[in-house]
Amino acid sequence: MEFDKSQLMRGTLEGCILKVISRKTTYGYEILEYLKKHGFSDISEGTLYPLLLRLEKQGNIESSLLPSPLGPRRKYYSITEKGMEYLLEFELCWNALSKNVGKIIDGGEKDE
Amino acid sequence: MNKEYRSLLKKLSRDNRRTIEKMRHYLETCYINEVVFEDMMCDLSGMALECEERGEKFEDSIGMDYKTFCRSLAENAKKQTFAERFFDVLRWIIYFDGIIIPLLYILYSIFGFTRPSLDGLVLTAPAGQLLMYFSVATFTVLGYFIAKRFTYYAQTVVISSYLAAVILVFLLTDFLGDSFFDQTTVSVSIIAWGIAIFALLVICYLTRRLIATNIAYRAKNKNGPSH
Repeated sequence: MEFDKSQLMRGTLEGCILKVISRKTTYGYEILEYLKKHGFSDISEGTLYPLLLRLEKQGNIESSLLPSPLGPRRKYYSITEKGMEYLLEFELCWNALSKNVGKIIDGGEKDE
Repeated sequence: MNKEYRSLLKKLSRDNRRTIEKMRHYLETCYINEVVFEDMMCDLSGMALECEERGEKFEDSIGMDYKTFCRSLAENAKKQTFAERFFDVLRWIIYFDGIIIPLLYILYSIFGFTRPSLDGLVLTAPAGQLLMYFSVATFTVLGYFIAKRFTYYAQTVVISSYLAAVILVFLLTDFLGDSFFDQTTVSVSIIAWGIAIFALLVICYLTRRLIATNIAYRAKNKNGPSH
């Protein structure tokens, strides 16, 4: 059976998007390009936009419409205080998780 | 829909415009907060326009079927509150009930076969008859909204129940009207009626808009920016 990558991605993608937004105020397509450049090649605007909506609904990010060089006004996202707290928690959890998964995978290789 | 959305829509190619319109029709059935919905439609049109500028097709850039995308959007967007829905239903009830008096007036003026009588711009009708008309009109709207909630049930059953309920209300109010209010008459000035209905619709629209705006922007005020 093939491994379902999307299940693993779902939880982590929100944290990654928050991290990108925490670095600078940015817009959807820029986030998408950044994520694609950093290995999330399967992601599309159809995946990203609902997640941005969700983060906004949760109050982790906020948006403002600003003029864009391409014509229509563009929605720029920035992180909120609540979002910073969420991101910190995500980073702590992720670090612990990746360390533990790493230990198991490495340990498994040594055992063999 | 707002001006910005309409102007963005005009700039889009036919294919992308069709995609956006399909999305709008789909999302309209999802009970999304009105302000969030308008904002979302502007966003989507803007995204589609940027796709065009990059030489991409919007439907391809979404990377999935538009219905799946819309379902995902609806899941994550702010929904209408009970108050918003209440005023939405109320608005339609006012529309439907509001046209009864002018309609009776026109029918009487042209054909003269209805029971009400006219005195200039004042219509006098039996209270029982008006009760029946208003009840049926109100129930037609309410029933429609109730039936809409059962979209995923067997439609034959839903539509038959709806029609049966409307007929039942008609028969019941007709009987009640004839039995209890047959001798009572009500006089209504067409002008005063028109002004009252218009005022009610404006109040209804403004209240609904105020609630929607308040809900849409509440989170923004609660969660301050980090910098």
